[in-house]
Amino acid sequence: MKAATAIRKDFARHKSIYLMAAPVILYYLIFHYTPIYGAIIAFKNFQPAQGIWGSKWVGFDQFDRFFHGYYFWRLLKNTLLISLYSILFGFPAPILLALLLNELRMRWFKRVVQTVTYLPHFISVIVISGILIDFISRDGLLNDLFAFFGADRVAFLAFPQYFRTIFVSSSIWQEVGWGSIIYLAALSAINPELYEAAKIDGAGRFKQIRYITIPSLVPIMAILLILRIGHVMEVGFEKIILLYRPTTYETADVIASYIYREGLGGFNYSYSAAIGLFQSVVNLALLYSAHRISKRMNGSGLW
Amino acid sequence: MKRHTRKGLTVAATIMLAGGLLAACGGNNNEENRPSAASASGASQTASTAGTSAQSIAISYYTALNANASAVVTSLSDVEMYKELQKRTGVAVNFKHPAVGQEKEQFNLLIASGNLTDVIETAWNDYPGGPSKALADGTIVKLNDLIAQNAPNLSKLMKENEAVDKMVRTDTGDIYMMPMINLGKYRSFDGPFFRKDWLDELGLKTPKTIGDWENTLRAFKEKKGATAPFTATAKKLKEFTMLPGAFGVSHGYYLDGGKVKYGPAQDGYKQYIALMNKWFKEGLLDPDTFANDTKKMESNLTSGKSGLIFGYIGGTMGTLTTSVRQTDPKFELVGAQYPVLNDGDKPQFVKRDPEVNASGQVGITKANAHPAETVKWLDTLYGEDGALLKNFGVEGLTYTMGNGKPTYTDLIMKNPDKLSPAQAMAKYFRANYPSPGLADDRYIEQYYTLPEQQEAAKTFAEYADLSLEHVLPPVTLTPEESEELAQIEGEVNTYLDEMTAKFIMGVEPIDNYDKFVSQLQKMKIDRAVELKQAAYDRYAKR
Amino acid sequence: MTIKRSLSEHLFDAANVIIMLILVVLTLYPFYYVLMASVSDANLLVGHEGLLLWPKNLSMAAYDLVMKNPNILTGYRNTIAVVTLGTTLNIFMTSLGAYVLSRKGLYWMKPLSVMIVLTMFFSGGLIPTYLLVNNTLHLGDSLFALILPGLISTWNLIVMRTSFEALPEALMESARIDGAGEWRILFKVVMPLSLPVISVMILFYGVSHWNAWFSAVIYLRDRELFPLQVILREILIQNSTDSMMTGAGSGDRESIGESIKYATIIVATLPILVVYPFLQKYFVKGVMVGAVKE
Repeated sequence: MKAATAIRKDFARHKSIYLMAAPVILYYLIFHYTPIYGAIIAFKNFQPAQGIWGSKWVGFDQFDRFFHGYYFWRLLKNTLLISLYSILFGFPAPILLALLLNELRMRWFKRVVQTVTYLPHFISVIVISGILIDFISRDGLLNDLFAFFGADRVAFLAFPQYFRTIFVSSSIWQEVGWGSIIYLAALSAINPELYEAAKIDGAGRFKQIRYITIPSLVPIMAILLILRIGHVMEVGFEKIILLYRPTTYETADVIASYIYREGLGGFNYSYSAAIGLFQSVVNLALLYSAHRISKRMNGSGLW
Repeated sequence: MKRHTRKGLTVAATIMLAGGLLAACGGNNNEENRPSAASASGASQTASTAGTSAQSIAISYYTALNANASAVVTSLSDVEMYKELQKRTGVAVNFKHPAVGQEKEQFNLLIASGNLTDVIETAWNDYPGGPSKALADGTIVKLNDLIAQNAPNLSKLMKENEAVDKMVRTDTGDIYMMPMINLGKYRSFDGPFFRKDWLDELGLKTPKTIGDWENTLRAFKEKKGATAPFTATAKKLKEFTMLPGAFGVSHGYYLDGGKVKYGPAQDGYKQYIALMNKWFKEGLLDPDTFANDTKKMESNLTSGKSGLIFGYIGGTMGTLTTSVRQTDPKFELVGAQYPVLNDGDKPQFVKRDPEVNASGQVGITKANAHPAETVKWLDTLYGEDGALLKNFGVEGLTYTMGNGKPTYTDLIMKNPDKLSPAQAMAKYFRANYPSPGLADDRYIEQYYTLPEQQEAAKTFAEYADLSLEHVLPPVTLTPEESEELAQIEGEVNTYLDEMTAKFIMGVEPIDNYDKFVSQLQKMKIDRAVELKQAAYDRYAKR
Repeated sequence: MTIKRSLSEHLFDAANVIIMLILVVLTLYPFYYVLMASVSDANLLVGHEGLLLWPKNLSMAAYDLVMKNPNILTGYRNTIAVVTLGTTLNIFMTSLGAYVLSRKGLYWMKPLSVMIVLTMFFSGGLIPTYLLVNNTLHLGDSLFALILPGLISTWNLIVMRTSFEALPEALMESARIDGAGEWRILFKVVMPLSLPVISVMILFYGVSHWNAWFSAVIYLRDRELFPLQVILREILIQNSTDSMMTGAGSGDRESIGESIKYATIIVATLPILVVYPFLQKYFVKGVMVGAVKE
């Protein structure tokens, strides 16, 4: 009863805010919550012509099939490893770039580097993969370089031990500049007086970086890291299928590429929905843990 | 500065709001004047109210746009052949095309949305659950009576050719589509090509047996310095049946005396894999086979690193020869016969297109308000005039008639806009990719401009009919069967691709082949063969 | 500038410049390669090895062919329409959401946040979304199908909210005391103070619209409406069909010239590269304004 009055009071007091929230809520309800019923096809055997409601219920069959599949553990391992390496090397890279850019003294040079490093983001994955294949093939640029130093030529794409390195490093190449934008925006919001004060106190450049610049990035870093961790189970299929070969499936085949190949055969929406649901649940659990840890450590989380 | 920004923002906000309104209006507008795209029922209603005479009907037609066509036209409505067809029949067609490369997604969404177009052209065997399911779902309608009453040309072709009649039906005899029919003598459009100028230089004949092939490749390597004598991609190796064919097996399912067998589980396949492994170790097979893409493979051939390639008579032999000759006039390829184990054997597994093409099949949907008129309209493409239109376009523009034989004009063969013949054709008619109607050998004869292409076509055609004994016809599975099969094949195909690659590269010793086969059995490959066998038995009884 | 820079700082500056130079070369070379390849003779290009520094037999044939493609111009038109209208609506909706979520002490804000974050993980999937947009909202074969379903990117919303939260509460309080309503506070106080993040958001949304292709291939069947990226994709996948789905009854297929592929990339990317420095100028200015304001 008391709670109800509190709610009513809260609503009356903030009516205009709730009114502002209305279009946003409406958007989420229409485009995100209305279709969510479709997730039930994970427990059905969806047939396009029968529709979502008309298709037959099959309970956990689709999940069962995935978990007991021959490749389940390998897919899980590959997905997690590629994701972890991407976070381990790909997450700090734009932060480092932003810090270095921030320290550049020549404004024009800073702008040039910024502009240049954003470029790869605009290029589609197909193009990037095509160029990459050219560059690392046995008679490509990279092997020319190795051969120059007397090393043997290697068909990097044909061997499983190179796949993750190729995948992760090329992704960093493509996204590092773009990823730094958000940190640069955060850096530009730092009050210059802080630096002035530090200088007066006799702090050098490194001390300024350590005690002013980095701490001011922590909140945005925390948010982005939490969000990133919430996507550990997702590795985009497009680049994988452009780069992998049967000989590298061992390290390259991830859940998304597996779904894609499966889809080619039967367009099995229910099966992929079940796998997708599994991924979402794991992701959400990870996100929640990251959020809790962040709350405990620096007091801010996602909500 | 500050003020300026503020003002700018107000303006921006106004634009945003206006945008919001616009969005709302747009939504409404859209609902009313939407083209018949997704609501075929709407389209057919309009059509039926507009009048029932065949003169004024309009149908919506869903089909994927071939890549050759998408480069030169926005839609098939712009293709001369359909403009002419509308003039002749009075039927207006509203074409709907998915993006190239996304055909399957779009098709499934089209079915799931229930808003069907009047006509759908696709590979109906790929319909989830197969053609009989498409009929049972009510997606498409049974055509038996419609064809008997409205399609004299197609009926005649079906009566005269048992194979055609069999392939357009389900197991129960229902006709579900109007196909592309090829009754000509050319049905093998690809195969192996050797560097003829190298063979001549080394005094070698075009190799016939597996042994000859090996010696030839070795000579290429040792005497011509080829670093990848036989260039390939993982996909090409898997696609071409010639090498396992020499050992009496095929890559996937095949027929052996009426019994369905699965190639990789057979001993012959093990021998084939062992041979590839040997060639790989010796440097005869491209060391980059499992890293290459098609482009890389072709460049190996054109840059003198390779002397053997698998490809098309048109897109590989023709295109590459013409382009390399600009710099190396001696360059020549020869289409080699599929290899055999012993001299005098006949190759049994030559790739051969069936009489009824697997794609380009037209189904009439339940949304179609004028099924009879639609069938009549399509049937023209099986008659003499219609087939000429489909294969040669418009007389005077894209072909000329002489001695009863149509000849392409320069607009097609030497296009003034520098379009390749394949693209020029796609701009005016539908000869060079699957489409409903009757195909014509005279197209192929002119499309292959080089004498060695004509020769290759003959070579590949020589034993093609022997494969009828071994190639599984387009059987139809029941929905339950196709689902079970898809589940089995999902795992099996990944395992197969990966293991064969490892055996060939020597990562996995060939001694483990039997273990590989028993793992295939654990993945229920025998059950898959059983399903195919059952489907084949039903097909044979049709 | 009063403190003398130490030796280590000098070394650091020098190393920093060198690292950046290497980065610039590493980033630019592939673009240079694409540019050179696009003006090279297709036949010579195929067999090319090693560093490509100059065009192989300068030839503009590829551009001629690309510009003949009937879909390129309509593609431009559609993409520009979607980018302008889409980004405007995105910014409006995202600011609105971020402002609402950044308000503290409201009873429903936490559930609302959770409701929004959850959508990053659960979706109904392709089919129900398609049915909603195509059958219920009747947006199939309309450019609005490319705009409305992605009106707010939750990721961007959270980033923007975080940035709004960092603004001093006192400013809004004083505006409120002056009698300003919530809309006024958002448009007259919060947004002007947040120009850095807004310009980043314009860039993020704008580029994502520019690069988007998936919703277009799902919702559009009228080729007159295809955006540029879809056309680009169609041309590019023709040579990589080894790993992608093959098109409509492929039949006898020739791989398209390498230089055509590269020319298409240039044609589809150049506009954004040309516009970008101007955008960036504003962007940098926005960042500076934000920095000075605080």
